[in-house]
Amino acid sequence: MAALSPSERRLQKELMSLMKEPPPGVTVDGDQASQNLTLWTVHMEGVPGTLYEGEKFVLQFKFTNKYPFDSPEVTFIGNNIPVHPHVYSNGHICLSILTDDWSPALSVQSVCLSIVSMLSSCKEKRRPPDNSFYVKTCNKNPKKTKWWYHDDSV
Amino acid sequence: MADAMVERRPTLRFFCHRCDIEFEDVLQDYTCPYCASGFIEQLESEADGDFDDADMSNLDDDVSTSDDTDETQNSTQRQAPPPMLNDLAFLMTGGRYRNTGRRDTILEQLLWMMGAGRPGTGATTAGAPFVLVGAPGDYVFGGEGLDAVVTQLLGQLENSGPPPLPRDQLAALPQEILTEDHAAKGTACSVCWENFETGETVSRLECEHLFHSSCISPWLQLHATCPICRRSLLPADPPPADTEAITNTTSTTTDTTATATTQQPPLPPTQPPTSTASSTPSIASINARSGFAAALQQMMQATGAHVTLSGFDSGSSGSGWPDTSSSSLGSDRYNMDIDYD
Repeated sequence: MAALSPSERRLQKELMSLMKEPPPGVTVDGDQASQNLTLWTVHMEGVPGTLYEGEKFVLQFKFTNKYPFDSPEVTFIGNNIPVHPHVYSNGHICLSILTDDWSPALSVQSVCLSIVSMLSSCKEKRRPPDNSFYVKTCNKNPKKTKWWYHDDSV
Repeated sequence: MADAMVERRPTLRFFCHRCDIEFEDVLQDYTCPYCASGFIEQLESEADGDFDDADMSNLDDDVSTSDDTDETQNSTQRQAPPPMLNDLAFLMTGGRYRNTGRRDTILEQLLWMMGAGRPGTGATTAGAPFVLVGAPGDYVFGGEGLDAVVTQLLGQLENSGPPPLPRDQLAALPQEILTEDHAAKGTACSVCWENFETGETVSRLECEHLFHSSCISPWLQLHATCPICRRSLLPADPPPADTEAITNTTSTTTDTTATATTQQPPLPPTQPPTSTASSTPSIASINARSGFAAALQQMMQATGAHVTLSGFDSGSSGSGWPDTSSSSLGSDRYNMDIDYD
């Protein structure tokens, strides 16, 4: 096996850790991720007792070779995109740690936990108010969006 | 707008049958400024209003990705390039193309104009079609080029968040060698997730959080915050003026001829030494423009000092992390670490 780059080594460590001790309701597709360390698929279940109980979601993580200095590109994919004020119908997530507030001490696991927490604290299932405009005009990569983080409550 | 610029000058227009291109003005001897041939034709003075269509509705074919499915050109709403691109393309060609079936791209035209196809015209040509000022890389050609510019602009947005740590401060970041008892605790660097090992060079931030020096440095070049607690490494208020003054005085009056610090009045003073500062006290980090860097390097070599030009500091060069700053800061290349022997 070829020598891993520093970012691949870190991703490899993260993958092992996430497969061994995943947060509740979170599972990573280990086979896929180990074949291509820069593209992960993470399955997520709605937490019981929340608006998303019983729902299943799929998250996609894309990493550059600058990871962990560069944040991962995280989107919901598949046919069940959570209806949430910070999740656009194209799967883009408005979450500050994915751009401005990213830190190399964060990880796939901490991002997953943040998203679980974001979903769980939701009071009303609805799309962001600017959903249709955003989805029509946005870049494919949510990291290219200049997000304006203004609501910490959900 | 291009229209405004063009209309101001009521010039004659010509068409070169060899180049299939229109242009304004000619050399005194009535030759084409592009190919210098005489096979040119003076165009009928077009109605002024005709210039309005010079905003490229007819150039679209040449600029945008041309699909040759000939829909009725005027009626269909095509995805025209943005107006600015049209104007730019217009200015670049110095005239407009005729729809004569030639499908040269703007870039091809430009390269051709720059090359031998344009003998001896240059600046003497009144209304020279297009003079390339500066580096070709500074120009944008076609829709893809514009995309690249937009992407680059967006890329700058992407780098939002806390500002980076100034280079001199980064160079002054205290480093230490891990001792056995610390490494024995089995803690890991939260950037690379590797356990700390005895003998590794680490940096302890003001918040007491510990990282491999080679791990924290690329991050601080992007954002001057602790990855763990987000505490900013940037001073809340500017450093006291007297400290700076003292540093300046020392650096300009010290009579060690040809040291780096005495030779750089326009540059920021080197970081004042701190008590905990690094184990190599004779390192001065200097940001310099290329010319200065080269001159300085020459000078230092002459005086026997040891000079390395490097991406950042010699300590982190072997870290293996990609250079996080290379894309954003061109001046990085000229950072110099000077080590006096």
